[in-house]
Amino acid sequence: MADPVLDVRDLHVALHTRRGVIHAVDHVSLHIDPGETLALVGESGCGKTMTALSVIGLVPKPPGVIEGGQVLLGGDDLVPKSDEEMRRLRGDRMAMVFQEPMTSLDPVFTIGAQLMETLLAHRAISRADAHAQSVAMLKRVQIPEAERRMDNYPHELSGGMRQRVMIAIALLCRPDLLIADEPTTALDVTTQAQILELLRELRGEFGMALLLITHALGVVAEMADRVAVMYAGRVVETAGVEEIFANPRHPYTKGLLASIPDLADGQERLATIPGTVPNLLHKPPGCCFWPRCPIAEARCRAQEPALAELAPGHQAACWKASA
Amino acid sequence: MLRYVLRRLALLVPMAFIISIVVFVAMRMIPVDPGELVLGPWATAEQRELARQKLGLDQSIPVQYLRYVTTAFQGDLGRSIKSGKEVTELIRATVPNSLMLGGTALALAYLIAIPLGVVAAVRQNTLVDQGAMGFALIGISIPNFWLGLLLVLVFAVNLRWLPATGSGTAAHLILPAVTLGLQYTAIVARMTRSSVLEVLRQDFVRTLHAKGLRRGRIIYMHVLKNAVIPVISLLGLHIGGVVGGAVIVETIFAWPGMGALLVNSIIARDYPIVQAVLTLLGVAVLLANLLADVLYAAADRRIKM
Amino acid sequence: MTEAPRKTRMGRRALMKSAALLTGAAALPGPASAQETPVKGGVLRYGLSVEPQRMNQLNTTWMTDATQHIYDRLVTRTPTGEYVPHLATWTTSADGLEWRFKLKPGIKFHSGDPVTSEAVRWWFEQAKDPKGFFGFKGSYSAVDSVAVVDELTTSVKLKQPDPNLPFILYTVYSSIHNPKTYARLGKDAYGVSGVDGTGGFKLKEFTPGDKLVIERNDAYAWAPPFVKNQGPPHLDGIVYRHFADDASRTAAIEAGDMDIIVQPTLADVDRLRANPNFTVISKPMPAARTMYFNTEVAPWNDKRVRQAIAHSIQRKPIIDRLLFGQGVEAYSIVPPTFKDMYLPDTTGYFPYNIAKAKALLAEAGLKDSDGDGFVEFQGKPWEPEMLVIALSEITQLAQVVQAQAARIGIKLKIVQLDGQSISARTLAGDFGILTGFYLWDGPDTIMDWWLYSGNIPATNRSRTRSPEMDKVIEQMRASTTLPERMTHIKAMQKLLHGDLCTIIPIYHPLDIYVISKRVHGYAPNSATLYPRMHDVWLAKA
Ligand SMILES: Nc1ncnc2c1ncn2[C@@H]1O[C@H](COP(=O)(O)OP(=O)(O)OP(=O)(O)O)[C@@H](O)[C@H]1O
Ligand SMILES: [Mg+2]
Repeated sequence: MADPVLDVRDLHVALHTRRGVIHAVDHVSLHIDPGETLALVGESGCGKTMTALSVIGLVPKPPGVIEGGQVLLGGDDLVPKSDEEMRRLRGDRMAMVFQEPMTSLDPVFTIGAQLMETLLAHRAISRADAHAQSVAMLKRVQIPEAERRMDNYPHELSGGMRQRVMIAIALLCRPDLLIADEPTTALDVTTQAQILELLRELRGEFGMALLLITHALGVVAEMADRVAVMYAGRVVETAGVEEIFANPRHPYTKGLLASIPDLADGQERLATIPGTVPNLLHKPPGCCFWPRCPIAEARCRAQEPALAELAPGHQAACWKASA
Repeated sequence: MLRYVLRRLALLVPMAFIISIVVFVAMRMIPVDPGELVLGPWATAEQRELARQKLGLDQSIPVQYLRYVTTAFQGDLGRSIKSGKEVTELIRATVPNSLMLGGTALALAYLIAIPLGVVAAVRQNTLVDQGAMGFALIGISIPNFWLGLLLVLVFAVNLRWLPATGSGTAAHLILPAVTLGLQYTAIVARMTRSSVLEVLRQDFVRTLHAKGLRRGRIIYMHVLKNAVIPVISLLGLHIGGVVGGAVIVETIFAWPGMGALLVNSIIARDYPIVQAVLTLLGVAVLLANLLADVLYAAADRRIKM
Repeated sequence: MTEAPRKTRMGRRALMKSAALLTGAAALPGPASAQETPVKGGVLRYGLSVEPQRMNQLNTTWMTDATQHIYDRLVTRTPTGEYVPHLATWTTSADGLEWRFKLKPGIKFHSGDPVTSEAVRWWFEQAKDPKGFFGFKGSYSAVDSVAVVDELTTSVKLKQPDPNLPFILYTVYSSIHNPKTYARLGKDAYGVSGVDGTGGFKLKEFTPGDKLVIERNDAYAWAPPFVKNQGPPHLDGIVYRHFADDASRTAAIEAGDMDIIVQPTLADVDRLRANPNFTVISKPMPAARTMYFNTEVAPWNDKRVRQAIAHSIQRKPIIDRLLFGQGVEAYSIVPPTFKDMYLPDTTGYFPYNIAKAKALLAEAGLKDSDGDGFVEFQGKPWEPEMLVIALSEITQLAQVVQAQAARIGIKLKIVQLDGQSISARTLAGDFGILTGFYLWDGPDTIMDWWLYSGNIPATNRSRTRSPEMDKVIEQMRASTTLPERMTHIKAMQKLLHGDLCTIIPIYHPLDIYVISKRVHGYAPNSATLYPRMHDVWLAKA
């Protein structure tokens, strides 16, 4: 098997806020192989976005501090890299699409300008070439009248169109890794399906690895090869997509799956596990899920379980999972 | 957009009339002895009456206004009661000076304030930011006349680098423009700073970083263009204020502008001048606001006209 | 009317042979090195405290310095106070009823037109025209008819003898114009966009709010006999600029923008005097800052109340602190520099005396019965308004007066107004007390205007009605000799400041000139309202 495109090892990102230290990414490890799609799931606030941002080097500093760990992109550790080195990688070898297409584009520049500047930032090409490539990419993400759209301002496009533009921008430089942070959450159902379909096609065509962050297990089922479940800044379970749906081992994962009324409806939010996400400022000792865990016992409260290989490619962090 | 501008321009005409009527009536409400205006304090009763007739003040106000408007349309705004100069000539002499002073002051203010505000925002809570905002606070709180005299003392009286007063050369323009511009610099710098901070918080800035753009390009192209839009709308207010409101600076520097002309004329009840200058200023303010709106719309395509 | 601002410097009707003035003049220092050889050329920059006005006395009473230099008069006055021929010589008939003015030959207007007797006749006609706007036609009331005798001679017939006529003809208000140019430009534009006089300077540019520029009249060859330079002026021209703000005006000369300024900031006078680059000349102004009552409004109609206020005024701190010493205590409307007119006894009439003031108030029924420290009027708390013209010097004065009146239990309320509003209210009689000033080089005339009952309300705005005063004024007007007139002028002061107390003088301000050392031959003195420019020259830088 080829080396992973992205290999995150024991990454620890803390946010030093005025109220205290938030361990938003708490010793996270994950990897994605070339062409593979890893779905990162978990309730709101569990650290998915922060994990993604630390990969592309956009953790807000302050308050964020990378406390430890490695982020290997094609075997090359990104953590010690300078700002300028990271800038060169961003948008070129790795790219990111954000959740809110309505606000993720600069409202006072044309679509064309925003596409072209990405290319011009990374490639020594003429403006004419940049223009041509941008138009081609717009066509590739199935934007009708691509040539004319180049001169449009973001507000003249629908949400779905804007997300296509975002995807086009991300893919312009043919990155090895695309991070999509809830790319469809803000869109209506039909558009969501179209965007997911587009992503699937493009992934096949460009052969890039995809880190797909989502709340929606329906999306996971459709898109992912493997799944990593995050809870309170930690990865609590990771496995192949079929395995996780068929055989969830962590009580949190089980809770997530149970909360889906209909797998086909990708909209359902994960909100039906009793209790709330722990305050990351005051994590409980032991397993951080125990306050909400139906099967917690004394040990869970005292000692933190580590990720343990339960089956090939299937890991979970639960004292009771191996039982 | 063109239609919108034309419609606004067409609206200027009735607005100008309303302004001129308000000014006309207001000027005639003020207790004033026209004889004394024309002749000085020692005029006799019959001379005062003659002066009243000469100024047309024996007529009713509507008749006076009609007379004024008809002659005004023939390009005759009357003569200054005090100096005897034709009002059109006075306006022609002072308007370019006011525009030059106001324009330079505002240009200076915006050219300094916008980079200052951006730097302060980008380096938020650092010494640079505190320095810039401290400067802005001083700029807002220092009274014009005090700053003006201070600058004169330092640069004209002690260092002798620049003339203290008067007009005519570029050197004459520097001190009054700086004095007048400072408070605008301060206001605009603060406005720019908060505007930039707000833009920096917006989602698209993260996208720009994710695209791998250089920080300079992000700040000075994207953030700046977004951030100056609310600052532009301030410009409309400033253009009006800087032309009519430069009285103190004009007085300190003996700068022959419209502000001092207006205030001196109000004090002297020289109403042909007051009438014309106030009407003109009113129209100028309306035009400035229109200009600001057009700029605003040009900068931000989301604004529909 | 008490505000006759600086600009209204006109001649007075007084029979002022000026011996008094000239004593003052002799004491004044002239700029150093005045004896060096004059250099031709250069433009003098002159900073005014009052805006230049139209230079046509037929259409305004506002005057400006340049009027002195642009025009000449038939008569002029020597530094020793005699009236001597300037444009014309004259003879008087034995009965004093006919004056013949014979123009000196060869005098030309700026336009090149010769000055003829027709211009003189025209001038007299304009001045006495009852429908005209000439503010001083009263001074010409003795003139009956004017006729041209020949090309250069004009005959003026009087209704009664007027020994004051040379004085009238000497003032800037009797400047001679070219009637042809006057007719061509019209009376509105004449004096504004163009003038045509015979003076040593011609009008070059007049931009109100900016500058007034005059330039040398190279044809000038008729300077008055007592002027050293008999040819055209040394200066190429003069630029007058107006500075409303004393501090900027002062800064302008310190920065080298101006060569001469008038009225620097008072606090800077001593410093400027010590500066070797400048000469500072100060002379008492023919002016007084005063308190002025409406004698038709209670309780100011009670002279005891007015006298109480007079006793409350303490002048020395006002001069020391407000004026930085640049002023003279005033007990009479007549400044002490007018030696022949001034009545020294006035200083003793109402000295600063709180106890006396309080006693007078009590006598008048103004007592503090509620114990708040202030007197009640008609049983009610009393805070009378004092109108104050909104000029910093006068408002500061008003504040001191307010504090001083409080010492005798009168709580004054300061109402700041602009000159026009004050004028309207005083004309209508809508005031009780006023802090004002006059500036006039004839204090005798001021008393006539301010106190004669026939002048109510036009100029007598205190509405002073005193049969005794009226009688003295009428006697003064009728006097035929100078000593007689002076006796009456002194009697007027005795009445006004001794008992009537409708006007309380506080101080006489100073005329202060700051002159750069570049400037030579500029010698302001009490004899000339607008110092002559004929001998002035600029040292080359
Ligand atoms: N700039 C910041 N300052 C302080 N705390 C932050 C900041 N950004 C995120 N956090 C906190 O870090 C934790 C992780 O946030 P993150 O955005 O990664 O969550 P998420 O899993 O992406 O949630 P969502 O599904 O809502 O996007 C949260 O508790 C959040 O409150
Ligand atoms: Mg997120």
